[in-house]
Amino acid sequence: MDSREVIWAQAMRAERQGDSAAYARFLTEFARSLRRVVRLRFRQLGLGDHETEDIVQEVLIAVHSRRGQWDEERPLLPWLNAIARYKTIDAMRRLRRDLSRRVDLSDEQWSSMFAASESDVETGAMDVEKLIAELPPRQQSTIRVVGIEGASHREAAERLGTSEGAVRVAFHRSLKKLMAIAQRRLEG
Amino acid sequence: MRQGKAARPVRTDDLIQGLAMEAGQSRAGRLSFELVLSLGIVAAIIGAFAIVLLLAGPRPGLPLLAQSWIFQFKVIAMVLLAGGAAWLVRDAARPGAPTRLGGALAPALLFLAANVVLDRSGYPLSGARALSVPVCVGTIVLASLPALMLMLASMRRGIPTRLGRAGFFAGLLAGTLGALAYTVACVNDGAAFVSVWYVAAILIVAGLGAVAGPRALAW
Repeated sequence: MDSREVIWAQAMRAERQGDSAAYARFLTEFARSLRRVVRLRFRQLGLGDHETEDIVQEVLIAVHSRRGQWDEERPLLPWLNAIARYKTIDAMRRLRRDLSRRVDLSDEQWSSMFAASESDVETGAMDVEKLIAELPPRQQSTIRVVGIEGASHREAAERLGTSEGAVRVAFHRSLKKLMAIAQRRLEG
Repeated sequence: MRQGKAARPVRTDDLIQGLAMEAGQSRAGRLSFELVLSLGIVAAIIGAFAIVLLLAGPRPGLPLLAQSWIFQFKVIAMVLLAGGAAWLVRDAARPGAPTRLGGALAPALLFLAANVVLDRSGYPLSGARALSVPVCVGTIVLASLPALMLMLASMRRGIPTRLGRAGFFAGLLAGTLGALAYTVACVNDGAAFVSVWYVAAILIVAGLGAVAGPRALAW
């Protein structure tokens, strides 16, 4: 016979005589082997140690609250295993439900997500071009040369026939304006 | 009934110390599962007979017929089946107990099969009347519904860990008790009729139990 069966069954009988120390020892050992099994299983499922400990505690409470129903004439380990299995599956089902509820979105969120992903496919360049089109012509050319083509302020001043300082100011202003327009679009 | 979901201590060691303090306090005069199940079966039988007598009434000439084999055959078959089903229900509410399907159901099934083979009465499979089959199946299912609820309630006193299967066995037992009650009203004799239509009705109730089990028995 499994020595663990004998030792744990003894502890469960001692519990009935009010032996707290023996019972605590059994619970600790049982929790340890339970933790090992559940953790292994959960790692395979990509769940963390936090959930593992929750389930270990849940099984301990289940065994504790039903310990009076264990028949001393019958083997203890199959009894423990069946309860652990039931509570673990129950908890996993609940975790999965919680998870899907957290992942799930409202209908509106789903539809806006598809709208957003469509414009993602157009790689955002269109969006920037649309925003720039709202700027005054002078600022449009500045932001195109400096912001998109990556020219230096001096180069841009030469190409646009203006001073370096004017480019700097125009670029700064157009950036601010772009931010404001983008903000408005996001909110509206 | 989900114990300990609220305010659970963070550390398992703390929880264990807390639980250990309750050592020796578990047997506070609760009725054992076996006793609750037995009382449930008695109540289910009474309920099933009441429904059958209400819906169909006893068949004519019952006291005389009760001494005949065609009547006793039905009762013996249902009692054998109920015994096996009760055994399965008890084990289904005991964690780790193996399910001995064959051992539990073999006596009843062999008894039914032997009687079908040896039956020389020539009673038809479709029963004595035009509506025999739907009336028989319907009455057995109706008579079994309170029994099913009682069996599921009794099982909650045990520790079922495979709820669909446990519910199926609860339905098997409840259906058999309903069929046992129906023997006093049933005008259809013949082993073939009983073997097919009684068993069909019992399986319907078992299916209901299997569907209800996961919800009704969760703990």
